[in-house]
Amino acid sequence: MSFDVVGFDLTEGVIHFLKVFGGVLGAALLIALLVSLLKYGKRGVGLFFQGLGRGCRDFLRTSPSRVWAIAVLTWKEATRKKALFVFVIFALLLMFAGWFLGGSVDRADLQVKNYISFILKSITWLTLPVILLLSCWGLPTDIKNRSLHTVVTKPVRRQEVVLGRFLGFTLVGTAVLLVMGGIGYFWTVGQVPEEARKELIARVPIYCTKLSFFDNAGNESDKGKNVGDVWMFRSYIEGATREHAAYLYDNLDVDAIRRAGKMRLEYNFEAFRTHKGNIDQRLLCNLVIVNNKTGKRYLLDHPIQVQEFSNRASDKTITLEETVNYLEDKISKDGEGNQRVRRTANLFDEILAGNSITIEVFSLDSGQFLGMARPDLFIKMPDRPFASSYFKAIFGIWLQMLVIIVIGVTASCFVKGPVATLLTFGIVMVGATGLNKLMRGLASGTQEGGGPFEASYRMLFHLNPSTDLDAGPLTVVITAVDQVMLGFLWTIQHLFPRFDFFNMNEYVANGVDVPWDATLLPSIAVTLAFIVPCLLLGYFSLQLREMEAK
Amino acid sequence: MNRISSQQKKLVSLLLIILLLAPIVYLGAPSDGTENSGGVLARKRSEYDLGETSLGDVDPTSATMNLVLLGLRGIASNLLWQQAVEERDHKDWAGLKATVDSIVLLQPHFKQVWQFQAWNLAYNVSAEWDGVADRYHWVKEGAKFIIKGSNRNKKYPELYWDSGRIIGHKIGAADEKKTFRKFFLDDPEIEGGGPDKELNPDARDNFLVAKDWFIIANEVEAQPGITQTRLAPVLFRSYPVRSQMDYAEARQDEGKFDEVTRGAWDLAYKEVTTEWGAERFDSPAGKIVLEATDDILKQLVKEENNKYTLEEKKIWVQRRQNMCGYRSWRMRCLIEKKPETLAAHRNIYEGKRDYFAGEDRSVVEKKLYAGMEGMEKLLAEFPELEANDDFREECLKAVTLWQAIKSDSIDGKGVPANFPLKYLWTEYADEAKHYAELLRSQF
Repeated sequence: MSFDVVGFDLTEGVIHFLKVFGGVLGAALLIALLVSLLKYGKRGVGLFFQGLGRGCRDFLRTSPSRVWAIAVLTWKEATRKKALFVFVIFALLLMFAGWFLGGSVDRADLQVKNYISFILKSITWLTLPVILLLSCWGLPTDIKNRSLHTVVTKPVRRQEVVLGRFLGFTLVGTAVLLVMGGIGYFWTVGQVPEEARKELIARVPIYCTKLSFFDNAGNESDKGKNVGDVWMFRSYIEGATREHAAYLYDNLDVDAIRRAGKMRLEYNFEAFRTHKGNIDQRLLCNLVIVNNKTGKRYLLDHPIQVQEFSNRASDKTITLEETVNYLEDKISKDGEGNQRVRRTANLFDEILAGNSITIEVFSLDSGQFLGMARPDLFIKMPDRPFASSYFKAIFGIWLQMLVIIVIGVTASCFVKGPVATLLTFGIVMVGATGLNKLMRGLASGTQEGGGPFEASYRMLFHLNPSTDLDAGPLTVVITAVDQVMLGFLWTIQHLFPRFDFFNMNEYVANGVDVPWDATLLPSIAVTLAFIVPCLLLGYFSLQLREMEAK
Repeated sequence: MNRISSQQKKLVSLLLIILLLAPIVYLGAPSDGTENSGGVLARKRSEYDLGETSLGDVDPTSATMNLVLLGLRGIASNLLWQQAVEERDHKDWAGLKATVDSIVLLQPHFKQVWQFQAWNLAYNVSAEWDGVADRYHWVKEGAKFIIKGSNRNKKYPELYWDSGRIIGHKIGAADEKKTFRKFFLDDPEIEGGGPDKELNPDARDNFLVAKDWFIIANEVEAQPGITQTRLAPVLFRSYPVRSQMDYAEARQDEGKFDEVTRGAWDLAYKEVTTEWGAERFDSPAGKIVLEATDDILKQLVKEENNKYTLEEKKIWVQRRQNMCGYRSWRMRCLIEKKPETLAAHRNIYEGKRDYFAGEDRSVVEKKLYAGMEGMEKLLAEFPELEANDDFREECLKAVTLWQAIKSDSIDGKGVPANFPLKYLWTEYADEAKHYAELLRSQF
């Protein structure tokens, strides 16, 4: 994996949502009340609460059959717009993709990644733009053609129109995605070279809860040595020293491992040589399993070879059966020197007892470095079929589609088609690109250079972003004003969906099952978090919108 | 009010279509492949070598992509290039290769793309991998990529030259050369063994395959209207024979002191003097040759109607010889092709090998001594050898080992006052001391 897999804190997520939703809702209500007061005077207060009450009543009286009727109409409209022509492009892509992908890399195990990335990206980039356009142009076209008049004059409530649109476009998108996903699955399985088909799996990793690095003096740190790699993902330890990395697993389900009958560890370390060394020999490392309850150390009886960048699971898997051979340091009787004695231990009853272990990694080659990150060593539970991770990734695309539909339909409730398209496209772009990260960095204060006022001040006086501002009243004022601005930005950044949660392609391409807590749960949470506010916004926008305006 | 009927309208339209078709046919009729066939555009394309087929092999996918993208291929290439850089930084090698393939589909005739990315794959990506077989895989990827590039661009001698360099230099001169050269003949990725047919169809030495690529590069460069910007012509055109020398030297490094090796040096000498040395190069004093005699230069002066003097030509011959080390290469080949040189090398090589293998010291001493004697004879015949670093290193190391044996000998006689190569030993005492220390550090 090229990123750390971190679990999602649902409680914190819900609190975040309530804060943002509450803040935005409160601000919207306040503005509505003020506008009402300014427009209608004292009568405006009554009208405001009347509107609120009508809204609550409308929502309570939502009719599923009317929503369904509008959904069916949306489906018909979408098919009439030839949205399903997207299949033709998909078919063309699949017909010719083999030309490009097959010959790209000779190694079959590396080809697997390309095939999977290609199919998932194709599905994403074909379905999402179509859905974006459909959802943004549906309502404005209805309003323009005045066909919405015939709907709203019937006993159909505004939120039913919005909900019906949500549902209708979701049905269209789901049908398209199901067909493409199904074809894509069989295409991938068929295209991947025969010898690499065994790499089409979904490994189920249990990542460590904490990775620490220890230097030669035994000092603990969350980072190891930096060897000057542009990519700062991995930290390094020096070979043939006491430096080591310690992976802590304090959440082990020993019963599940016992049921599997063995424990499989998979590693993906990176080698960095400072001198040629033995060119024909890969770098070696030792693994020591430490039982955190008893403190007993189990040095595995054979060093492992660093199979750098290999995409073959079999290259990098260590299997520990019920009886594990290990080496124990024994001080000789005369007290001079240690010797290593080979012993055996029971994996489940001794080594894993207490459900908490630490795996220490030592590099063995003098002058050479070994790089590792948190996802680089994991306990592998029984593999799941490739379909498991593949269809979860398709589900991820479906959730993205849902968010786009929700934003697109909502936008089309208060602006015309082209503007709604641009607005939705802009929101998606901010959510899917580095801009989102930049905003988060600014709002959380981790981005160097401070808020807008501090940044302007620095630019004006040519100050380096890494130097502190001189203490004084001006700095206090700048910081205080920036706090307000950054608070605003903090709220605003949450209005853009974080599409990085939805991107499950890398898991599938790397043969790893899509995890529930780090990816699926936050994706579902983000989707749900957009549905309710967008529905409310869509409802009130349609209530206020002048239907006669084209 | 429309005065002409619908049928008349159709007829007029048809007439107009036929009239407009005539200039289209005149201008754009395709060529049937023969000279001066087709319309004006086809003939002009052929005249100025602008057609895809005249540039190299046509890839239909690439041509289609460029048509579909209209004028946006530059932007698309830039985006892909950024993606390739990111993939390289994040060590997504499969993704990098696929992206690079896409870039060359868009820019098939941009030679720097081929050169840069081939180098990237063969030198940078391969160095990132720890396993030597994995490294070799990426060297092959780079070599195949540049060969593909040269097939698509048959008028760029640099691409053929780069193909030769990766196959010759990267495989034959890298730290892993011993293993790489073995893999070139017996690829670990080929089921059942044997070479990768795409690179080495006839199972030949990597330097000989590289030599073929350098020869093609020279042939392409010799075509009218084609120039290369990689190296000065005297250097660029030396590479076939340099590969021949590399081949012979690699055999010696691997302990192969047979007639094949001697023959390889013999051929190298012939190629230096009769091919590279006989080529005519431009200079400020007109045409010159590296293997210059007064007669040849006088002939050139005559051909150029006495525009330049013989003396001027001689000066520029020397300057060009200095530029490419011609005299040094020539002498090397001349010396190495002698059977006695080969025997001296063999004796030193085997003496060294047996010394470290702990073989019988008296046998080792004899071999080293014979090697030293052979080298001394060569030094007497070619005093210029004294200035050659490689020659001195080989000789002084042999003397160091021989002295170590003599010092340890049980007869108590120690190192005699006189011994072959004593002149070098005393004249280059600092170097000799360094090798003696190096030997002590081994034990």
